[in-house]
Amino acid sequence: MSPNASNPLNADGEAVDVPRLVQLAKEGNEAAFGELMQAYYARVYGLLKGIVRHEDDARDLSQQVWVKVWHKLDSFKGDSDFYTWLYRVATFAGLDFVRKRKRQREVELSEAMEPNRDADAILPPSLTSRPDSAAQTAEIQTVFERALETLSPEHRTALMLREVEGLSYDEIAQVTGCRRGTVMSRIFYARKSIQEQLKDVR
Amino acid sequence: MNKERAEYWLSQALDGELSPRRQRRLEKALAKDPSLADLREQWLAIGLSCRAQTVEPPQTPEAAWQDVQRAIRLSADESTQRSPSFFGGLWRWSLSAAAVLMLSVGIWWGSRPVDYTRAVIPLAERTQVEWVESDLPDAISMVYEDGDTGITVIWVMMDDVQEDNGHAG
Repeated sequence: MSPNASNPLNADGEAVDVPRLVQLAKEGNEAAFGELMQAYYARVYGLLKGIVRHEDDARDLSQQVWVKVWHKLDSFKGDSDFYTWLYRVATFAGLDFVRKRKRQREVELSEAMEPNRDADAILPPSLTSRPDSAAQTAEIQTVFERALETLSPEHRTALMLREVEGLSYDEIAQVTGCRRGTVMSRIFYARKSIQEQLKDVR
Repeated sequence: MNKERAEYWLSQALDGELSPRRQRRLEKALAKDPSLADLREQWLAIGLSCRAQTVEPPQTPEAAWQDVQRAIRLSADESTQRSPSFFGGLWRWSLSAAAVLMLSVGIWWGSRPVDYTRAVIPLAERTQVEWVESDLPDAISMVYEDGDTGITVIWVMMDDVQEDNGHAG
């Protein structure tokens, strides 16, 4: 079973029994909640960072989200998978934070996030195989990050939930509280928008 | 198939959300249109770049859990401080109840119907009308207290009216 949002792994690489941990945590078992939190920590952090685009903010927000999840766990009825409920809490917290922050979109990228050192290894050959690929890749990466910045938090969230978390349209609709058709068009628009901005550097 | 629809379907196909029938039509369009195939490559690259965005969290899960645990306990302490002790609660409850009682009495007092004859007249000194003076020529006055209502009635009569009244009476 490959690790994904519904099948997270613990620190020892073993599959986590999410429903059991959720039940124990709802009964007040802090250790069970700790195990649950650690299994999803990186994913929630990644999702929040994708939304708020700032490492320190994502870290603080991540902590707040987990405290909120602990207090609100009783409201999770188990009608959906735990991770969709968890992502919903995190997504709303992230979007709310972004709205309140109203920070200028032109944040210095170097402050906003560390440059990705592994970009060469991860970007597809079509983006890295040119003779001047190192400079080209760095430029593409920068433009890509800027393009992500220009998306609305809602569009960015939909794209990240799809591309990073691998959620289906229905799951994204559940997480973001909008319709499936809206999810579809947000992802389409996000791709088109980023592609338009990357066109000039290719 | 027009280009916009093909692109829209392409986006859904990349996400595995396109129906098999549409998928087949899209495949045909991709085979015919190199620009559409190029777009697919670009969008796949965007997906990879999105995944490349994910960086390691600044803390280990264990360290993050310790912080969260601390924050949970802190929030529990704050909540305990906010919720009063039994006696503190009783005191506040009593104060609230007294305030509500006083308010209720005030509202009742203010909204009860006022009997002006009982509330105002007894406080005033009763006026005794003994006589009435009039500027009307040859008019005479008569003052009496109506037995049924207790109201003082003042009659001012002219001679001719008196005669009429006399006739009437």
